[in-house]
Amino acid sequence: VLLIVCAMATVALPFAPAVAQTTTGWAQFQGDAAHSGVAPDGPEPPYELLWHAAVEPGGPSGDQGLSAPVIAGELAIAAAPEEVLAFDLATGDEVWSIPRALGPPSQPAVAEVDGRSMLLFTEGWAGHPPRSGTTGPTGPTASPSTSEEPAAPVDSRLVAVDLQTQEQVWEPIELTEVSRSGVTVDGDRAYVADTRGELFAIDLTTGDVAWSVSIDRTVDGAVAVADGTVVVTGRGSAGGSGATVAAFESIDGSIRWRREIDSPAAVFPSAPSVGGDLAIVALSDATVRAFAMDSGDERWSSRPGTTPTLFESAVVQLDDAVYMSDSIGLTGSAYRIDRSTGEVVWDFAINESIIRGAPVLIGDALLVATSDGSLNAIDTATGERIWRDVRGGSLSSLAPAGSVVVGVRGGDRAGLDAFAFNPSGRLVREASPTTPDYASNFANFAIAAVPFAALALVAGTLLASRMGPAFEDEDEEEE
Amino acid sequence: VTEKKRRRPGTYRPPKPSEDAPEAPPRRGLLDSLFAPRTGRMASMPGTMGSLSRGFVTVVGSPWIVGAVALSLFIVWLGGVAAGFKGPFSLLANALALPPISTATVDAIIPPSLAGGSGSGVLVALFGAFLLRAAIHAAFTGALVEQLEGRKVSGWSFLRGLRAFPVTMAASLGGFMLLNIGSALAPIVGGLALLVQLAVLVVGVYLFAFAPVITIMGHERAFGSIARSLRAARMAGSGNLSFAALYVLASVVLLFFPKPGNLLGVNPSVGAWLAVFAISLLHVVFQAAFAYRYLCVYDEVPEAQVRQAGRR
Repeated sequence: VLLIVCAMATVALPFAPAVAQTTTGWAQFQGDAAHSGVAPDGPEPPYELLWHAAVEPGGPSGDQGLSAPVIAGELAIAAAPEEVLAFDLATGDEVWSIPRALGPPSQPAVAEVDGRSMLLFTEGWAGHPPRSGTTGPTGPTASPSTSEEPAAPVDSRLVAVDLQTQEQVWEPIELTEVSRSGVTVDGDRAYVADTRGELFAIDLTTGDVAWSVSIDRTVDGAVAVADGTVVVTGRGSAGGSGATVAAFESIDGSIRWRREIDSPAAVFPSAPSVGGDLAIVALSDATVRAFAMDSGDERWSSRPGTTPTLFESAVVQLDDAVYMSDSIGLTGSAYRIDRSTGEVVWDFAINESIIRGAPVLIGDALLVATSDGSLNAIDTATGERIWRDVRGGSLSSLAPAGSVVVGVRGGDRAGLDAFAFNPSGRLVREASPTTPDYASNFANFAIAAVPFAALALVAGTLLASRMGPAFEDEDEEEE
Repeated sequence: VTEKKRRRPGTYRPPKPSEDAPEAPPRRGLLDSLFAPRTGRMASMPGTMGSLSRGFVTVVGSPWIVGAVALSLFIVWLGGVAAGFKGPFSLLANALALPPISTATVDAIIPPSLAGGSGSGVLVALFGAFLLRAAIHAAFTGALVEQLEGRKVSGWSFLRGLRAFPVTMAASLGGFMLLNIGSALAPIVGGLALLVQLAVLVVGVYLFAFAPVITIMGHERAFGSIARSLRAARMAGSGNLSFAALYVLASVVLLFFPKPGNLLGVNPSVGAWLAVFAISLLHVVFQAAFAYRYLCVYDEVPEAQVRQAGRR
C-alpha cells in the first residue's frame, strides 16, 4: 500500500527540477534555482487585493521601479534602486529597509546556510548609471553603453546580509560590470552574472568566489542551475550573431557545452528554465528552443506566436508541459507547449501587452500579469481563462507563496500588490478569442454584409443614373 | 471585350488619336527615361477625383462586384482560420489591395505565420498566397472592365477575368521582388528606410496597375502587358505617379488607423466586418479607377519601340 501511495504521489506531483537549499516560499527568480516557475504552495483563484504597498520610483531619473519580489517566511522582499525593502506579507507594512548602492533593480534571493537565513542581492551600476529618461518604472532597465568607459571605479557587487539582523554576513563580492541577472542560489552556492559576461559562483558559507568564467556576452537573465549544471544565456549582437546558451559544471565551472543560436533575429534570450533533461530558452526571433542538458543538442524549436516575453522572464516547466507568454504590441498571449515535442497545445489571447515578468503556475492555474495591469488565471487543462482582475498601472513579476501572490505594480500605483484567495469570488470559463466559433462568424458576417451591400447598391444606383456610363460608343454618337 | 471606339460622356473628351499608332519616342538614358516627358503631348487620363468617382460608381453600380467583395473576404477569412490563423482580423482589410500593397501587408505576414515562420514551408505558403491573390486580382479586373464598358457583369465576368492570371501572378512576384529590394536598401539608407519602403510600394503600383487591364482588353500577352502598363503609366501629364502615391498613402494610413478587429481573435465583430468591407471596397474602387484611366488612353499609349539592328 505504501508503495502504491508513493508511486501515485510521484505521478501526481510535477517534477521538481532542483531543490535549492532555500527557505520556504518564493526564494528567487521563478521560485527555485531551475526557474521552473511552479509554486509548491500558493493560493488558487479567485483572488482579491489583500494590500498595496506604495513605493515611489527612484534611480537617476526617478523612474526605476521595484525588482521582482521574493518571499521568505512572513516577508516579501524587493530591491529598489537605492534600497532593499521588506514588507509584512500579511499587511503590506514596511518591516525594514537597508541601503543599497544605486543599481538596476535586480531580483534578490534568499538562502539558508547553516540554519541562518541569508538575503543576497546585487548593487551598483559599475560607475556609469544610465542617463535619465532611458527607463520606465516598470520597463526594461537600460544597459549602460558598452562603449562608455566607467566614470568611476566599478562599484558593482554581490551583497549578503543576515535576514534577521540585516547585517552583512561576509564582505561583498566585487563584480566586473553591472549585474542585472539577479541572484540564483542552489545548495551552498550563489550564482550571479554581469553584463560583461562574467559568471560567478560564490561559496555561501565563506563568501569566497568558488570559480568564475566568462561567456563574453552580455547576460541579462537569471542563471539557472539543476543537477550539477549551471546554464546561462548571453545576448547576441544586433545584425550579427544570435544569442548564446552555455552550460557549466557547478563544481568547478568547466564548460559542458555552448550553443550559438543561428538566427540573426535571436539577439535577446530569456533566462533559461532547466529541469529533467531539458534547458528551455525563449528568444527574440519568436522561437522557444529546448536543449539537451547533457549535450546541448537542440531537441526542438517551436514558434508558438510572436516575440516571447523576454525581460525578467523564463518559461514555466513541468514534466509534460511548458508555459510561456508573448507579446507584440497589444496582442499578448499565453501558451501551453508539449514539453516533449514543442507543439502548441493551446493558446489564450489575452490581447494586452506582456513586456516584463514570467508566468507562474499555482496548482492548475497559470497566472499571467500584463503591462496593462491585469492579472489573469488560465486553466492549464483547457486553456480557458477562469479569472481576471484589472487595475491601474502595469503588473509584472509575480511571486506566489503561502496564502498570497505578490506582484510589482507600475505606473501611478507603483509598488507591490498582494492578492489572496477570495472565498466569495467566482470563477468563469472564457474561451480564448482565438477559438473559432463558425456560427458567430457567419452571423456577424451576414449582419454586416447585408446593410453594407444594400447601402453600396443604393449609392451605386443613384450615382450611376447621375453620372451615366463610363464610355459612349462613338458609332452611336455619330448616328 | 469590345474594341469599339469610346469616349467618356460629359464635358471631358479625350483628344482623338492619330490614325496610326503614336510615334515611339527616341531612346534615352535611364534617369531621363524615368523623369523626362516621354511624348510630345499630354495624356488624356482623367484627374484624381474623376477617376475615383468613376471607380466608385463602377464598383457600387454592380451587385456582383459588391457581393464579390464581401464574399471573397469571407471565404479568404474562413480559409485562413481553418489553416490556423489567429488574427488580427483587421489584416484582412488589405486582402483585396493591389500588389505590392497586399503582398507587403497580407501575404508577407499571414502565410509565413501559418507556416511556422521559417523554412521552406514559408516559401510554399507565400507562393500559395500569390496564386490566390493573382486569381482574385484577375477575376476582379475582368468584372471591373466589363462594368466600365457598360456590359452586364455576371459570374462569368469574373471567370473571364482569369485570363489575366499570368499577368497578376507576374505582378505579385514582381512586387515581392521590389519589396525585397526595399528591405535590402533599408539598412543602407538608415533614417530614410520608411520612405524607401513606401517608395517601393508606389513604384510597384505604378508599374503594374494597368497590366491586367491590358491583358483583359486583349492588347498584349503577359509580359507585353507589363511593358505596355509601364508605357501607359509613363505617359506625360497622366499623373499616374501621384495617383499611385495617393493610393499607397491611403492604404497605409487605413492599415494603421485604429479600427475594430485589430486584436488577436478569430470571431470578428459586426463592426470589424464593416470596417474591413469599407476598406476593401476602397481598394476595389482604386482598382476600378486604374482600369478606367487606362481605358481612357488605351489608344494613345505609345507602341513598343523596335530595337534597330546595328544601333549603338
